[in-house]
Amino acid sequence: MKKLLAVLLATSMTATLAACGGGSGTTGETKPQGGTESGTTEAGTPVHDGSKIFKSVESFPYSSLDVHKEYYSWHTQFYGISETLFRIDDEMQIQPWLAESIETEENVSTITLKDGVCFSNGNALTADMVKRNLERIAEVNSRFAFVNDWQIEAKDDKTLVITTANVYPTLENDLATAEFGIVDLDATEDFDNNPICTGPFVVDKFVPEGDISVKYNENYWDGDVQLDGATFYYMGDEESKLLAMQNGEIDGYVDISAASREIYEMDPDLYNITTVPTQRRAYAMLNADKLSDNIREAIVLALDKDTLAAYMNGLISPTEGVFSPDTYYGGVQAPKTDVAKAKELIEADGYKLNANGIYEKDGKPLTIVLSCYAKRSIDTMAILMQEQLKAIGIDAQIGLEEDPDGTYMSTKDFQIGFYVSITDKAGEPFTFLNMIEKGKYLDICGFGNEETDALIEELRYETDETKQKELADQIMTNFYASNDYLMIGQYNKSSVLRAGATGLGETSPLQFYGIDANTNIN
Amino acid sequence: MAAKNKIDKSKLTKKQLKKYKLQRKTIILAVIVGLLMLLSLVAPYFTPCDPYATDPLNLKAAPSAAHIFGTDYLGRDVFSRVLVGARTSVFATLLLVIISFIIGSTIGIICGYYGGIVDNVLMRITDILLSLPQLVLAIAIAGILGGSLVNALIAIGITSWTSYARLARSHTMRIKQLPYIDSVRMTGCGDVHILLKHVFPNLIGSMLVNATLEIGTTMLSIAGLSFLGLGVAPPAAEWGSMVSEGRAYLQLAPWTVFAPAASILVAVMLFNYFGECVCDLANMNEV
Repeated sequence: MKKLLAVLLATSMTATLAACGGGSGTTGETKPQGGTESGTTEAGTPVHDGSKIFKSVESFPYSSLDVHKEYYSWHTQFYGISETLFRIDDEMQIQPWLAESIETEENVSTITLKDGVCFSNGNALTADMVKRNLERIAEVNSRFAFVNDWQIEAKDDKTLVITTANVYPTLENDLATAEFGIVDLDATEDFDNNPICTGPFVVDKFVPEGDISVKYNENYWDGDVQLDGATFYYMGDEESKLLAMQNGEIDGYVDISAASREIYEMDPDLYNITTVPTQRRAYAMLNADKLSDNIREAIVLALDKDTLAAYMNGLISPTEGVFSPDTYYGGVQAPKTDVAKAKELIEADGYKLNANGIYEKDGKPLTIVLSCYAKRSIDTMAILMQEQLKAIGIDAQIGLEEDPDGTYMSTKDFQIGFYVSITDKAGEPFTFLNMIEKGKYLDICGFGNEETDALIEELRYETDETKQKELADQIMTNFYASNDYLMIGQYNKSSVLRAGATGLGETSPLQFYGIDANTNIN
Repeated sequence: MAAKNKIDKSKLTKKQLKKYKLQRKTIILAVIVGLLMLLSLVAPYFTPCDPYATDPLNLKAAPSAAHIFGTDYLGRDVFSRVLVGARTSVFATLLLVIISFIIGSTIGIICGYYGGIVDNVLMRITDILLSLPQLVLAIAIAGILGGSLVNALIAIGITSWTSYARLARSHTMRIKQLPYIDSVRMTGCGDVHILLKHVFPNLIGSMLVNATLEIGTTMLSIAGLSFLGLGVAPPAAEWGSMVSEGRAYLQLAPWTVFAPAASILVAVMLFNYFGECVCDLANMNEV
C-alpha cells in the first residue's frame, strides 16, 4: 500500500512540475550547448548563463517587498515578481492573467484559474490560496478593508466564488490592481524580503531602501524568460540617471524628465523613447472658504492649459477633465479657457484694475497664494500659473512647501493648493471619486456633499451602461460646477531604453507594469 | 597740493612699503566691493528684460545680443535674473552677517565682562552649537521651517553668531584686565558706560575683520541652501536657486548654470580677498 502511495505521489508531483514548465522546456538546467550569440539555443529557447542582466533604476526608497502591504506591490509587480488574477492592458481594458475567466451573475462572481499556474517554488496555484491572499490583503492593507465584506469560497482547486453584498461591476478592476498580487502564503517565510510569487522573476538580493536584484524564475508558468535577471539601482536624482544611461551603466528606465528626454532625442540611434499618457493628473484645489465663487470660477477659466503644457516639454499634456473623454465616465469635461469671462467675473465681485494692472477692491489688491511643492515639476506649473494669473490682473504669490500632506493638505489653510493624484487606476472612476466624497482626503475645498455622494454610491452598483453614463455625467457636472478643483495637466509616462533593449512596461499607462518574461536585451 | 601729498616710495622702509601696498590693495578692493554692493542695489531697476517673464518661443535660447546670458528653461532672461539675484544674494548675506555680528558681539561682551553663571550658560550653548556641523544643522532647521529666504537666514543665523561671541568674549576678558578700565571704574562710571565707551571701541576692529571674512562663507551657505530648495521661493531669482534650476539643463543649456555660478564665484572671491586684506592690514597695524 505504501509503495502504491509513493508511486502515486511521485506521478502527481511529476505531472505538476511538468505543468509548471509551461511546456516550454526551459528551466534553469537548460544547457548552453548549441547556443547562439544572441543567448538562445538553436531551438529558440533562452540560454541562462547569467550574462543577460537588465539594469535599470528605482526612483523611490521603500522598506519592504510585502505584496499586500502599502504600495509595495507596485514595485514587486514592476520587477516581475508578483502577478494578479487580471491585468490592465495598454488600452486600459481588463484581461485575464492568472485567472482564465470570470463569470458574474448579480452579486456572485465565479473566477476560474488558469491551468498550469504555479509559484516560483513549483507549488501549483489553487483557489484556496487565492482566497487566503484576498483575506490577507483585507487584513494588512487598510485601503482594501472592503474585501472583508466579500464572501469568498474556494469551490475546488481552480474555482473561486466571490459573493458581494451588492452588485459589484468593478470587481475585475479591483482584482487587477497590483496590491492583489498572489503570494504563496504557506511557503513564504520572509514577506518583507523574499515573497514567493508567480512572476517570471524571483528576488535574488534586496536591500531595503536600496538596490534590488532579481533572477529568472526557473519554474515560470507562462513561457520562456528571456533574461537571466535584472538589477534596479536606487537612484532618486534625475541627473544621476541621465549620466548612468549615457555611461552605459543602465539599459533603460521609466519616468524620464523633460530635460533628459531632449538629450536622448538627440541620439535616436542609441536610445528609444516611448511616451504614453498616464492617468496621473496635476490639479489645483481652490478653497471655497478662502476664495469667492466668482474668483474661483475666474481662475478656472483663466488658466490656459495648452500654453502651460507647451512649456513642460512633453512632461504633461493639457487636460480638461479628471477622466479621459474616451471613458464612459469622462463624457463631461471642465469648461474651456475664457479669459474675457474670467475678467467679467472678477469685476462682478467689485474689483477694478489699478495702475499696475492688478485688480483691487477697497484699495486692497487681489492677491492669491499658490501653495505648491517641488516634486513632479509642480513648482514649475505654479510659476506658469502665476504668470497667467498676473496677466489677467491677479497678483499670485507662490508658497513653496516641502510636503503638501504635512502642511496645507492637513491644515486646509490655503487659497489654491496643488496636488497630484492617479485619477483612474484600473479603468474605473472610483479611485478618484472615493477621495472626494464628504469627509474624505481630497474633500478639502468643501465639495463633498450628500447629493453627489449618493450619486457616487449609486454608480458604484449600477450595471446598466446607459444609466452608468448618466450618473457619471451628473457627478462630473456637479464636480466642475463647484469650481473647487482645477485640472492642470495629465502626466505622460516617458521611458528610455537603450537600442536593443525591450520590455520595461513602456507602453503601459500604468506605473506598476515593468519587466516581464519577454523583456530582453541584445 | 597733489605733489605735496604724494608718497616718495624710495624713502619708505621695506615694512612701510609693504603696508603701503597692502593699504592700496585694500582700498581698491573696498571700492570694487562697494561697487558690487551698489550694483546689486540698483541693478534690479536696470534689467534689460522682465526677469520673471516667461517666453515659450525662447526656451533655453543660447546667449545672443537680445539675451547676453541666454534664457532658461522657461524662456526667462538669465542676465536679468542674475542682476535681480544679486540683490537677494548679496544683501541677504550682508543682513545675516550684520545681525550675527550684533548678536554674537553682544553675547560675547556680556560673557567676557561679567563672567560667572551667565558666561557659563551662554558659552556652553555656544560650545554645543559649534560642535554641530553648521551646514547640516542649517539644512535640518530650514527643512523643518520650510523653504523661504527668511527661514534660510534663520537656519544659518542660529549658528553663525557663535564665532563672533567667542571672539568678543576673549577680547573683552583681555580688555577688562587693563589698568585704564580700573581707572574708569574708579571715576564712578557704570558698566554700560564702560562697555560702550571703553570695551566695544577697542574690539570693534578685530570683530569687523572677522565679519568681513565671514561674508564669503555666509554667501556660500545661503546659495547652498537655495540650491537644495531650502532658500528663496520660486520664481524669485537667487544665484543658488538659479544654479539648482538650471542643473537639469546643464547639457542642453549650460549658460543657465554658468552665469549664476560665475556670479557666486566672483562675489565670494571678492569678499574673501577683501576680508583677507583687511585682516592682514589689521595684523600689521597691531604689530
